[in-house]
Amino acid sequence: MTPRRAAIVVLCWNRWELTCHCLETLKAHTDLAHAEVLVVDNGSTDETAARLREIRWIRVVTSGTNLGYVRGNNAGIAAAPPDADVVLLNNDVEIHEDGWLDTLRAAAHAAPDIGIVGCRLVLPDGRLLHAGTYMLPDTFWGQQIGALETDVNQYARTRDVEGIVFACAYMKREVLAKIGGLSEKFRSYFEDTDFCLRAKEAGFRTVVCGAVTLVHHEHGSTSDQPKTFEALFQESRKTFRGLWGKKLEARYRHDVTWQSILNFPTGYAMSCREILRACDAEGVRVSYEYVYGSWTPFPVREEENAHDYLLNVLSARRGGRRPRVSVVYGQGDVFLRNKGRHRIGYTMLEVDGFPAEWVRQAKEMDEIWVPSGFNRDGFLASGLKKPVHVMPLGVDVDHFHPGIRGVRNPAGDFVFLANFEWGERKRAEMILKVFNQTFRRKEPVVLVCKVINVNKPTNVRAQIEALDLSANGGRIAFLHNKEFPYHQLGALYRSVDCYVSAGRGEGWDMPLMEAMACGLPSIATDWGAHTEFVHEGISYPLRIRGLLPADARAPYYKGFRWADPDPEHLAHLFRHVAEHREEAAAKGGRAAAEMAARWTWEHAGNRIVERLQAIA
Amino acid sequence: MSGEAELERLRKEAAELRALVRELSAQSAAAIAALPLDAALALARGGDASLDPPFRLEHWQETIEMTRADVTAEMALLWKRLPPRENA
Repeated sequence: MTPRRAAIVVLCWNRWELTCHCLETLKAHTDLAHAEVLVVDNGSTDETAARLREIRWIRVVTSGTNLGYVRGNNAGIAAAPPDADVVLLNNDVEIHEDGWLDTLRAAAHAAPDIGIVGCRLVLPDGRLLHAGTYMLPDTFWGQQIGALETDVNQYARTRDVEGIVFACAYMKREVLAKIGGLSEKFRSYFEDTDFCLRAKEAGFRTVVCGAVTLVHHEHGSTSDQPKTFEALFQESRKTFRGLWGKKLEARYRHDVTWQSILNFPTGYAMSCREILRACDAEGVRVSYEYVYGSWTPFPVREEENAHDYLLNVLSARRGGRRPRVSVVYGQGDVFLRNKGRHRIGYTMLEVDGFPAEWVRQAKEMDEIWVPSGFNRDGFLASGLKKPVHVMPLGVDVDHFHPGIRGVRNPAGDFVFLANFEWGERKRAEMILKVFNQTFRRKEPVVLVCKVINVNKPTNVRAQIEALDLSANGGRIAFLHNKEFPYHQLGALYRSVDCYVSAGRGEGWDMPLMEAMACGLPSIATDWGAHTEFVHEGISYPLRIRGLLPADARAPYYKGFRWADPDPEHLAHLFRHVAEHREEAAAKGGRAAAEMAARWTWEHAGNRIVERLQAIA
Repeated sequence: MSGEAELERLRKEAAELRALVRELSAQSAAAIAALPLDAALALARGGDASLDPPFRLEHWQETIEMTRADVTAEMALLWKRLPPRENA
């Protein structure tokens, strides 16, 4: 089938050097057999007009005066062939990928209800700038998803978004036919989100095609002039608020106060951040409040800045003194801080029961949420008679997927990765010893241990040296107390070949799930909450020899049991994986597919919405 | 031989092997305990005290690094400081 023709509209106003570079890269990387380039000269006063006249492969639309961004682009759209799709392309964009237009076109025509397609934009220094946009009704300040993250090829799939910036926007003709061009109620700014929202009302989706990445210099013609920018921005913001304020607010179908922890490097905090994002995306108006602090088992003040726009806005919301529904997401001994009229306690633990204090406080809740059947059984075994709902956590498949770029070992060694906090539960010493004994130094196999130790009196270095690992045994490399930005962790997983989680018990095991989503085969103890999402088809379950009393520093474990992973079986699995790399890689691939199909944060958010609907 | 009998035979064999390993470990531990310290350490390192350990701890971070590291740079560094397969 002949592809539909596309008109690429490049709007320019002075700054010839930008336009020239844009057109050069466009020409070098675009098949113009089914496309034409329309350059709108928006009343330039420099050499632009003369230079454009010299270029034979473009069509020039000239405006005598500067019409502004919106009307200038509309002039280009009006000049496009009436049956062609239109691509708006800023003149400060560079193209470095062949086939970019074909890929955007294919994404646009993949479904009849896709109307607008954007792409990933990166800054010239390589940082990600844009993978879609969102607008919160609290602030009416559009935000770019992924902005300023180090580019590790996150957001690589095609996904639905609320809006995109129109530095590059593929618009299908059907959308233009139905809603017209950009709204001239705006002179500049907000017109892109307005267009996407109008398209949505007309039945069209906006997507970002992650397979295309363009470079955006962000030299907007007004952003270099702060006073002009501020005036235009505020004028457009007011217009936008009048048009869309009530409609954006109406997308929230539920209100929840979420009492938890956000700005610490803990499992609850990291997952809380994702839950809040997932809830917002699923139409839950969440107000966040810190649940710990004075008079709690964790009497530390929380930093107010989450270093994330969405999370900061959610933290600034006030849920009221007695919200209708409140969820305490944290350890069960802070459940009683729940201030809701319908009180939910959401927790997890790594052993086969729950402490008496947690159960006592759980009894005061209207219902309990746990991520796994393993923990539901633990609560029931501990005598809780309240309803216990299994509410699984999820994984961010935009930052954890097999296409994330890692840094492979240049020597080609097969690399195992273990990632844990030093302590009794994670069986660090067993992993090191078994690995060291299983392999010989001369073998092309390495274990990387990412170790965090937050317990100052513990001298991890001395403990490792005391293990007297054999110099002729398997080689081990340590990353000790290195915190990586969360958005880059996928790159760590993609730098290795197999993930090892051989601990005694897990409350969920987010790193394991993230590694699996990245397509890694894994060796994981066959006991604990993570058995909710781990099975033999996608992982190598590590046998246990039985259950043992959970002796550790954590007071919550006292009186309960956890697993005794079998070191002989771990040795067998280490060897088996290293010698059956294709089989292992296939398991990793199946793991990634299963995580994306069943265990995303979107799934988790949907489950929360289902439950909130049942409560309403 | 039926499947069940075969399974039983394998279980028995595995139990015997485990007992044998335990016995050998106990004997070796007793022998090592009787060695002078230097010789015991040399043995633990594979019989040659001149060998480097199979890990390197020189880039050790005792406190959690608050300025978060870049994965790409950190992994490139990690691969460079990996102990060699054979001692140099």
